Amino acid sequence: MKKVIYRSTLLAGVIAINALPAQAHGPIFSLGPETIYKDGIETHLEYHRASDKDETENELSMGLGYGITQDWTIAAELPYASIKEEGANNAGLGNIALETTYRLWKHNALGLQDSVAATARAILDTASTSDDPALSPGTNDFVLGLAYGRESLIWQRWASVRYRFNGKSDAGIERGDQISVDAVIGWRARVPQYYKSDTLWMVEVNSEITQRSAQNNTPLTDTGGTELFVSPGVIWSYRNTTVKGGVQLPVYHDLNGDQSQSDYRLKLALELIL
Amino acid sequence: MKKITLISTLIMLAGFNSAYAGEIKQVMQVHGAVCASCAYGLEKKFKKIDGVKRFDINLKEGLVSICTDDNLKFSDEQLTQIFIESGYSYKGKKIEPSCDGESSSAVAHAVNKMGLNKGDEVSLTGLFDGVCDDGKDFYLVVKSEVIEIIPPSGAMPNLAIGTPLTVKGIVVGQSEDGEVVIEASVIDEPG
Repeated sequence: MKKVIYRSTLLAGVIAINALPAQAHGPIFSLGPETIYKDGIETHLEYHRASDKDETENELSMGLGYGITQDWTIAAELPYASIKEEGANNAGLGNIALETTYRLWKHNALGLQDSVAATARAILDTASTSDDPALSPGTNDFVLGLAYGRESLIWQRWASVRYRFNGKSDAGIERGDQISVDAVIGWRARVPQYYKSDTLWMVEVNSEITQRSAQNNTPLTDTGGTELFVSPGVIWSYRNTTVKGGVQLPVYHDLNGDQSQSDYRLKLALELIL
Repeated sequence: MKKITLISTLIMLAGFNSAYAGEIKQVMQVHGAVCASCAYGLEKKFKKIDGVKRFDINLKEGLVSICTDDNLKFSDEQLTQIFIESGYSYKGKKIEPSCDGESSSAVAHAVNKMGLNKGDEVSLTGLFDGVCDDGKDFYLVVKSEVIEIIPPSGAMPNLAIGTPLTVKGIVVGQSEDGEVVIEASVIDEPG
């Protein structure tokens, strides 16, 4: 039993680790520099699914974002999570996340926008950790990220880097910090028109480099490592309504010790700008 | 068929111009707008303003067009602020005397490349450049610009490509491919 709780504590929140709030016309799995216009409101409903050999996580989340200025957005996300692990199930409210994005630089040209933004995200330990499997690792975690985007009428390019600082749980478990590096290319077949729907195809390459976890400062053998994903996705939008979806497919892994590699991760989102 | 529909629509609209009496079209150049969902903030901001009736944006040409009451005027400072708050750059404006529902593209294209506006009476001399795929219109090249000509009924020229030709008519809009469309009343063929 102790082993089960231990594994659950380590893995709970895998979705929260990697999922980011929807960003309208930005990348699906990685970070983009997009912000909401001044006084604009963005709301979204998202579904995430992640699985490996031993565990499946599903998460449905509602998010709300607000543009304080055209360059500064704040957002909050409330998830409902469900975890199935080695025959045991648990479901309930997940960890609430708060996020802010600030656009540091922007260059506008005809049919082109380049921008760089910094993002900070706090994932608060609001979910229950008492049941098994736990819905939260029992820590407050923080993510810092930097994203670059070059968006044009046909081609889009994004690149981002994120660092996740994982907290230490009451049980003395400290999950390893994680660095994510992403590159994305997007393409649409025709120049978008305002009163017609727009479809944008994209492929992301997402890498995750995770340090070893530790318990009471003792490194844990079967933790940490590197994973690489290729993630095809599509964004469909009509004016202020966007539907987007993608799947992360693992293509490379170098995990420490005896660990299950990720199977796939799925994300679907419906977004509305108000 | 699409072309016929467009022309019919324009003719109908011309007949109902009085419905838009007291309206003007304000066309603004924008930089940085690359998708419809991101331009929605502009629509929201403009439509909050009393007197703004309709909003459209041509992303390819970077042209925002709004139909407004004719007494509604914006200063460059106001427009700059609206565009900045939407995340874009404002690069200037042009006011059209009427707002008849035509896409901003036609106005923009004509103004930018030929110095023409919808409704202008023109007399152009150029080179015959073949008949359109639907066999109803033909192309005329004037100073490197391709113009689509709707000939009078039964007056389709039968000429070799490159033959000089003079067309008199009225600018009626823009084709789906971006060419200025002229409804010809007179076609002067050589000889």
